[in-house]
Amino acid sequence: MTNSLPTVTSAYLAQLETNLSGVRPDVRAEIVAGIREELDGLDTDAAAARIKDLGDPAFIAAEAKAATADDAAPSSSPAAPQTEPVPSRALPITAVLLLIVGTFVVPVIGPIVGLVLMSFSAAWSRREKIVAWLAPLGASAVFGGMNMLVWALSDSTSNTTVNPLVPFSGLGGWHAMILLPYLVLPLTGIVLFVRANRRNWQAAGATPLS
Amino acid sequence: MTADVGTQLRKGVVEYCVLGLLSREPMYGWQLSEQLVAAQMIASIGTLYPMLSRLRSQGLVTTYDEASASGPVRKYYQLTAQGSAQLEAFRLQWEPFAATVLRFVEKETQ
Repeated sequence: MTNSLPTVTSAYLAQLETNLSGVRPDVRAEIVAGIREELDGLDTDAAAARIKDLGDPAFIAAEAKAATADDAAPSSSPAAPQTEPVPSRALPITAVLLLIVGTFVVPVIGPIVGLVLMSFSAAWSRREKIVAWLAPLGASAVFGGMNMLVWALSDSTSNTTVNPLVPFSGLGGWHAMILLPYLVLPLTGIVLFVRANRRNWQAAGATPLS
Repeated sequence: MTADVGTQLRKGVVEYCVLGLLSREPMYGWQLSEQLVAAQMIASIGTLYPMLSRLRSQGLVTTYDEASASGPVRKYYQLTAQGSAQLEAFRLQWEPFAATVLRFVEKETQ
């Protein structure tokens, strides 16, 4: 349909597109399409009259820029898709790598550094960070509690002496409690990776833990 | 406090005005723009489309294409069920809110 557009219409749309540079592409396309459909099918006189009603393309573009700038500002809107990007992905990616791989390559120090880096990254919410810190401790504590329960039950039902220093008693004994973080920390790293990647490594919106 | 009180007030309610217009019938961009500009709720069509884009991304309005009698296919905007609910929630709050504000700001009669 654009082939039959009067010159005044083509010139107006071209000027509008130029003025709209810098406006979010989806909004720019919608404005141009909306105005084009309004001018489509009008002869030169009718198009000139409608263009007069529409107003200066520079003014329309300035209004659109102002309105989309509002969108970029922090908003509580549930569907606001545009969040400020995290300046660099290096920090959160290093953090998850240290949690996933560092647990085995540099035991203890690797995952602790990973957790500290994670705490300073904006890629996760405060809640996610707290859960990540507590996950290995919590898992060990729960497992330890279950072990104690199993030992207590076996104490009351058998006469065999249970030596807590012997591995694999109860649910695996203290060895399993120590080894458990080696499973939990990489899993935590994977969960953090998936959650941050789902958000395209953009800020989770919570204040970084510092 | 700002000198441009009208701008601030319009910002707070103009999206609900769009929802209100669409609750009557589906409308295309220019139709909406004409009414809102005439009522001085927006300055130009340039303000309207970012707002429609936002309302659509929030699931409050949806669009469909329909050929007009004069030829061009137009994109119509219509209210979703969620948009209707949002508008209804606003209606419930607006009247008592406006009455409360008026109670505070109206001139005392002697």
